[in-house]
Amino acid sequence: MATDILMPQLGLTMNEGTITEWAKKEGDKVAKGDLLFYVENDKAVIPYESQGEGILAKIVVGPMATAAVGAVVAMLVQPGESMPESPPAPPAAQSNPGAFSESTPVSPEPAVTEVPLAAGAAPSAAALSKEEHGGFVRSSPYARKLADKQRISLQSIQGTGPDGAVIARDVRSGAPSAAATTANTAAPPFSDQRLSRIRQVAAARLTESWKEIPQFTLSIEAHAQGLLDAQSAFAALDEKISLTALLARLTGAALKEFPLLNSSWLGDGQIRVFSAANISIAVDSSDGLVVPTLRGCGERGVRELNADLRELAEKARARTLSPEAMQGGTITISNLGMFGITRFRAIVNPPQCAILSVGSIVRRPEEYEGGSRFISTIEIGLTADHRIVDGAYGARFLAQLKRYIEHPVLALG
Amino acid sequence: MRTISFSDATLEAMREEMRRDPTVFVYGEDIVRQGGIFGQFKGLPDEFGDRVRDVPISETAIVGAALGAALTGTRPVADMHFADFIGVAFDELANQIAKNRYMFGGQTNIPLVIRAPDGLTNQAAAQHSQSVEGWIQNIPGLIVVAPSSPATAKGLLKAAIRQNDPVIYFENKVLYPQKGPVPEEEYLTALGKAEIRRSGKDVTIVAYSILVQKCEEAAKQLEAEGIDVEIIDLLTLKPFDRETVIESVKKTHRCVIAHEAVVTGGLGAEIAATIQAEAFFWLDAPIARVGAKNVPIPFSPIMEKFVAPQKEDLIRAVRRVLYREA
Repeated sequence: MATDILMPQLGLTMNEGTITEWAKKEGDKVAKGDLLFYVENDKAVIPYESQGEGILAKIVVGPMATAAVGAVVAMLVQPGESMPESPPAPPAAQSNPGAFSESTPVSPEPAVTEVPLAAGAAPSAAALSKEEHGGFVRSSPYARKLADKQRISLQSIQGTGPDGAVIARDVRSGAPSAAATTANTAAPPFSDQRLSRIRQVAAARLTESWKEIPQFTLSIEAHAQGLLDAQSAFAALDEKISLTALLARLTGAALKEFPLLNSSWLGDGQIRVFSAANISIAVDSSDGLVVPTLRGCGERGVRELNADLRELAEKARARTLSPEAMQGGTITISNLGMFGITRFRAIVNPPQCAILSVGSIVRRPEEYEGGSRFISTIEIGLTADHRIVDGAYGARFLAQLKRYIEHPVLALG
Repeated sequence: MRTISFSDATLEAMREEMRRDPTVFVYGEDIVRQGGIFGQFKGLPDEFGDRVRDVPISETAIVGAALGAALTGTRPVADMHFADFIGVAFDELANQIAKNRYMFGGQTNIPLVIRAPDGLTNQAAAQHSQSVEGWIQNIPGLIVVAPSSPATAKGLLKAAIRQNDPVIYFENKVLYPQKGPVPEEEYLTALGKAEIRRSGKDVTIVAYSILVQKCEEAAKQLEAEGIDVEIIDLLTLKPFDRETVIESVKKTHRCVIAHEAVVTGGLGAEIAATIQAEAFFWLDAPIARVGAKNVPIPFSPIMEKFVAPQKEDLIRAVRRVLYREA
C-alpha cells in the first residue's frame, strides 16, 4: 500500500512548512532514517528523515512550496507496487485559517517580485503566510512546469514576460537577474528577491525589538590576559576551549548576582526571571543567523559547555539543529571578535531582556608604572531592556563580568 | 499533378458521387438555369437531368425537404446560395435535422449535405458576407466542415455525401476561382481529421477555410523574423481534431486561432477552451484569437478590410504570443 508522507509538525507553533530542498527524487529508494527533505518553519530549516521505507513514488509538494502541517507532501510505495492514480490533494488547513497550500493560491496580486517586509507590530505566522499568498509568482503555465521539472524556484527567476511574468525562456536561461539583464535590455538593473521565512520572522522580531523596546547599550573594556591564560592552561592539556564557551561560563556566574538581566518581558507589568542561565549563542550559518541554546552556563563546567557549544555550532552549520535546540534561551551572547570587530551595539532579542556583544581581543599600549606596556583587551557590550533594568544595574553587572574575565578564578564563587 | 479550380473540384466531387450512387441528388436556387451563383454546378444537369433541380426561393422548404428526402433513404445535397440564408431554415436545421436520429432512437440515418457558400467577397455587405459556423457550432448532432483548397474541397464533399449524418459544408466564395493540385484518382478527405499545412516549432496557428492561405502568407513573412510557424488546417470544424491541435500546442507552447468569422463566440473560443483544459501546463502565453470584429460586415471597401482579419493581424498576434510585441 502506498504510504503518505505528511508535513511534520516541528515545534508547537508550526502550522505550515516550506520544503526548501528535496534530498531524494521520485523513483529513489528510501530507507528508514534517510534524509528526505529540509523543511523550513518560522524558526529554522530542519532536516526530515524518513519514518518508513520504500520507493519515493511521488513528490506532491515540490521544492520551495509550502504546505500545511499534516498535508501529504510525498508518497512512498513498496517495490513492485504502482502509484495510485491521483495523489490526494493536500488537505486545506481548515483548523489553521492562516495556513495555506501552494496549490490553492487565492489571489494572484500583488506581483511577487516585491520583497515583503514586516511592518508595524509583530506579524503572526498567519500574517506572514498571507504575505506569501499574495506573492504568487506570475508565470506562464509552461514556465511553471519547466521550473518544477528542473527544480528551480520560480521566485528565484527574473521574469521577462508581461509585467515581469516568468515565461519559458526565463527558466531555460535558468538565469536570474544578471543573465536576464544582458539578454533583455529592458530588464531592471536590480534583482528583487524574496526573503526566506527565517529571515522574514527575524525581520519581524527585530523590528518589534527596535520599535517596542527602549533599550540602552553600555560597554566596558577588560584585560583579556586572564581569558588567554585560561585558554593556555587547557591548551597545555591539549584541549581547545573557545573564548565564547569561557565567556558563557563567566556570564553565567555573573548573572547569579544580576538575575534581572536573565529575564523575559511578559507585558502587563510582569517579567519572568529565570533561575538557570540558558544562553542563546548567535551562530552564523548558511541560513543566516541562528541561535542555539547553551544550557546551564551558571552551573556546568567549561569543558562540558565547550563540547556542547561545538556540537551546536556544527549542527547549525550542517542545518541539522532541532527546534528544541533553539528554544529556551534567557539571554544572548553575540561574538563578532573572529571578524576583527572590536565593538558593536547589538539589538535585544525579544522577549529576552539583554544581549552581550563581544569584540575581538586587541593589543594596545597602557600607562604602566610611569612608562607604558602592551596589554590584551576585550570589549564587552551590554544592550538591555530599560523597562526591566536601569543603566546602573547594567553597569554593575558589566563591572562584575569584567572582574571575572580578568580573574576567572573569582567566578568559582 | 493536374491543377483545377476549387469550383471545378466540387463539381467533380458531385459528378463522381452522383455516378457512384443513384440516390444522390442536388437542388437549390438557380443551380440548373445559372449553374450556381459561382458556377459550381455548371454542366451538372446535362449528365444527371432532374437529379439536379431548381427550387423556389424558400430555404425553409429546401432544408425541410432535404430532411424528408434523407429520411426516405436518398442522399440530398441542398445548396444555400449564401450561407447567410441558412437562418431562414434554422428550425429545420437545429430542431429537426440535428435531432431526428436521436429522437427516433437511431432508427434512421440522416445522410444529407447542406452546401453553404460563405465569407467576404467584393463588398457583398452585411447580409451576404458572413461566416456563420458559429451559429451552427452550438447545435449537437451536426457535422461541420470547411475546405481550404481545391483538393480538400473535393475530398471533403465526397466524404460528406457518403456520411450518414447531416454535414454542413461551408465553402468560401473567394476560394471558388482559385486553382490548386487535385489528384485524378479517387480519394476522400477524412472527416474529423486536421492537416498540418506547415510544420514549425515556435507557434501553432489553427485556421480553416480562407484563413489558411492568409496564415501561410503571414508565416512566410514571420520566417524572415526567425519565427517558425506551424499551421493546422482544421478542415472539420465539428468535431474538430483535438489530438492534432493539442499535440502541436504541446510542441510549440503558443497558439493563435484564426477564422474569418466574428471572434466573439466563434469557433476560436471553443478551441481555446479545449487547449487550456487539455494543455494548460504546456502554454507559455495566453492563446490569441484573430477574426472579424464584432460588427455587421460593412459595405465600404475600406471598412470591410478594417473589420475582416488581415495578414497583418495574424503577424501581430504571433509576435504577441512570442512576447515580441505588446
